[in-house]
Amino acid sequence: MSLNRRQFLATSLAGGAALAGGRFAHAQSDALRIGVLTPLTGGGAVYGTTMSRMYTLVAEEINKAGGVAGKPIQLFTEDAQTNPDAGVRGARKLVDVNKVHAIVGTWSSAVTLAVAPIAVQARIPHFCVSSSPAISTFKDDDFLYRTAYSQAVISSVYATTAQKLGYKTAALLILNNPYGIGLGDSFPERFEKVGGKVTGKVVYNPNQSSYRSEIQQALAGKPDVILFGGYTPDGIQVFKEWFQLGLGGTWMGPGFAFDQKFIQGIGAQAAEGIIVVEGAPNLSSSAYKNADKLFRAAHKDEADFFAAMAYDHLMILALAALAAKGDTAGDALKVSIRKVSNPPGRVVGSWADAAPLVKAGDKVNYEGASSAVDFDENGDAKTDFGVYRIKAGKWALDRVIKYAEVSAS
Amino acid sequence: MGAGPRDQVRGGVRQLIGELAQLTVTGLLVASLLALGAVGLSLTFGVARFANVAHGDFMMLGAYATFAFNALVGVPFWWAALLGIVATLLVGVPVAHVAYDTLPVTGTVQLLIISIGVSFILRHAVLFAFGSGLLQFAVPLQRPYVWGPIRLTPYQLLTLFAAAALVLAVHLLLSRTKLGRILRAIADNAVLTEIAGADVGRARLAMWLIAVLLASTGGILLGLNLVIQPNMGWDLVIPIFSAAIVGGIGNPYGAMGGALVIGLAQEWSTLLIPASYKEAIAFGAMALCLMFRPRGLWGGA
Amino acid sequence: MTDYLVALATIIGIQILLTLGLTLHYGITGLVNFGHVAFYALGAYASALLTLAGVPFAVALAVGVVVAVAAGLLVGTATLRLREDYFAILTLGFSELLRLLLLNARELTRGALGIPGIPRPWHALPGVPDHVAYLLLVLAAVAVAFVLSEVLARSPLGRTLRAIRDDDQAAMALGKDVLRFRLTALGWGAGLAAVAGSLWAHYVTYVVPDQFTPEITFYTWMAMIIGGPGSMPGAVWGTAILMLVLEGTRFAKDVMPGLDAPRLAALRQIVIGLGLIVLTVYLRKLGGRTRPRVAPATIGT
Repeated sequence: MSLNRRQFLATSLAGGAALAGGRFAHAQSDALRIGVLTPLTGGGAVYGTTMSRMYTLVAEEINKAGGVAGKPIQLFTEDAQTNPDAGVRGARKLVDVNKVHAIVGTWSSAVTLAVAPIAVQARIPHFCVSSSPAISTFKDDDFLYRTAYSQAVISSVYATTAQKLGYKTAALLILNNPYGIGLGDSFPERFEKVGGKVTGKVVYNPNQSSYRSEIQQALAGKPDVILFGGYTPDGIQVFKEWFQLGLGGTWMGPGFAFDQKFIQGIGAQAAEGIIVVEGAPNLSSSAYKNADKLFRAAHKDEADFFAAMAYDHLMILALAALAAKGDTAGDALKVSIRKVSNPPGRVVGSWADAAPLVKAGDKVNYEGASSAVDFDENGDAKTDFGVYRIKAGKWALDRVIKYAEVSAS
Repeated sequence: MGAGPRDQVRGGVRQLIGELAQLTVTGLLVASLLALGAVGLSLTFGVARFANVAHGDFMMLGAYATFAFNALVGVPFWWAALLGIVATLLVGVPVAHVAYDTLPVTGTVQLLIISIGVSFILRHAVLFAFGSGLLQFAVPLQRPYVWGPIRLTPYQLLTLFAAAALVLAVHLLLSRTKLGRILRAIADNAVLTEIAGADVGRARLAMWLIAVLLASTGGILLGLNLVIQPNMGWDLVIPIFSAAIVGGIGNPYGAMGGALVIGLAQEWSTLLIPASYKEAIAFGAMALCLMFRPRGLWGGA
Repeated sequence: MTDYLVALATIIGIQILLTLGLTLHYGITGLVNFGHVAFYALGAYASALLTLAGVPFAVALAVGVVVAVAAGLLVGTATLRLREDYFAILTLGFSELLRLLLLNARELTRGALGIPGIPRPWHALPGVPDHVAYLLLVLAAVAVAFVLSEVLARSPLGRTLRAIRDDDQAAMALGKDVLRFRLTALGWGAGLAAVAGSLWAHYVTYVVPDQFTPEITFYTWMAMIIGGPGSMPGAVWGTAILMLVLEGTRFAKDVMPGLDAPRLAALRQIVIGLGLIVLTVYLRKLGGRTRPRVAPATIGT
């Protein structure tokens, strides 16, 4: 029974062409088209899904109020898969086919660094939530913005937190990727500046069969605290092995690694006492209150740091387009972005407050849900931080560290 | 009164011994997990005469089947494991038989390519059904027994014993039973064995049964000790092949030995080179072996 | 829309170079190269690092080719004497080893951070948009590679390679230095892959070790098998079909609402795996010469 190769190929060609020639999202000429490039699968899936949901909610809210200068916001979503290659392909589709006016939501630093050149080449704004220090210095012609902290900044927070808790020695167990390496580069000097000593720095690769050796190596110098620089999936694996080694030790790390999924994965007992540092939403701002209300109504859950950042991305872009009188060209937008988000101006936090002011030509200063979103010359926002401890399977807030405190140290 | 130089040296040596002990234990654990894959692979490589790169994915199937019974349906772990092994046999053996025994091929290369296809299909079928997330069995975390520098949890001890017991069982099967004799004869010369009247087809089925049994058990232990994810088997392809080749294809004891060599070498190497190069050890061992002693350390002619 | 087609054509063109190289390896010479992505990676990284250091694009591309060819010759010398499946596993291991090295040799390759901002070969061209100009560059490379490969395949060298593929013992008996010819084929294919890698790096403007996994090797195998392993035109349209199916299903999620993107991607891979098996088995002609069917039980004796 010899399958006729030509028949098989003809069918597959027809199938492929049918799919490819199928329903394309027609590029409407009269809309503000935003490309949502969040991770819906992979290590960042939880955060990507949250952000994607928030983008949808904000777009709905603005469109219900009449859109941006009469233009509706149209979202196009691609899954970055927490993988730079997938991110690049998604970005190409968003830019070339959907002709988006901006890209938002890249989470992994590797994805952001791969996608940013595409955005710059297309001359459209790109909002990310990645933490690699390389993003600050990336030559982006002012098109790349981030509402999240840089590893360089959070390293100071880790350092001061450790110092305040009386820890004199620290070790690092970091993932071999831009975010982990960035942390490994930034933390030691800041910790030494406050009088601490780094006893060891162990870099681990994902997808290994065992991390016992790496864990034992990190704990070899008997550090007072171990700084973990990985994601939730590998975190669960590492902590499972650490707990079952019975070696003890205090851990510290970022919120997105030690989230609820992590705590469920390793159990409340193993997670007890872990120090968590995460960007704190701008809790007192009207923007945060609005974002939280929006998110709770739809998803029965509070708006976390990532949801807050997503809220800010879309709000800033919409306000910027409005301030540019509906001009959605990238060059016009990027000038407008700083105008609406940085001082001076009337402080605003919601579309209902800000839209009439901007339409009337007033200068506003959007204070966001994730931070004041005042972008510095590199396009970085200055965020506050929350220091938590995991107690009985939940994060318990220790204290909030304002950005001003961090930059002073 | 501080430590004198002799005390410092003694302290340093003690620390080194302690480190070596810990690394040896980890190496033995890794070896146990590799062995269950390598023994089955060695068997099929020797009898069916081709490299089945989908072998690791049979391990993955065992883990996921058990997970489905354990975490999704709620069956207690040990029963889930039993059910998982049975389920994997019911799926894996027919798949292997159809893909590798029945399809008309013109050479081992085609079987190799077919096995790539099988691997793709198995991994992505699991991805389709379970998603890409890291999964765990519904078992509690354990605290280790501590003997000096050596730390092992009950499950880890179980892993060591289970691997050894299963390898012993396979050895006994191959050396003491009629099926074992037939399999060894096929590995030697398939044509003559068939001419001599042995039921080669049935023997091959039995071979797949043994291989998938070992693999699925290995996969369950892998999931128990570490984590369950769709690439858990594929990620082990190089180390498992390495163990089988270093040990000598067709020899289950050899595969266990090879697994010990790879596992221990991998962990001991971290004393000299960064841990991130660990995976290169397996490849290096395999390459050296194939270049200078292709029949492996314990392989026959 | 045209912009997207330009992007798609560029990616297809780069992949065609990979497939042409693999066709020289396997289709013509019968080398089961499972590590093809390694040459791709070497071309990409060499070109990226050198152009960032100020070296002109053409020179960087050439150096990438030299590096890949050298690596191919090195690996080949060590492993080409071995059985096909051992060679396959070793080349697979080699490509993974290279990826590990790229990941960990931070000082040289920036490791996991990757290399962003790779410059395009030119700053601006009069009248022609940048991405169209790049497509023209890729098409030119494909044209040259195609002609070169066809000439090679039809030359006396090509005939010798095919003879070695079909029966290396006979070729040796005729006095041919089989190893030297195989190395030549390996080198040529590696060079083509390196050109592909360089073009890829300058197109995407970012390289990271994660881009260079065995998946790319196996996609190339699929493209080659779809078009028929021994044929250069087959390499071209086999690649085109594969890439169209892969990219086309990106739009399928708009058409098939029941499945989300990851599930659709998994389904896609399952279909490709099935296609690989079906095409491999039912492809009786290997570059024009029909080979006899053999029962699996007698393989390798």
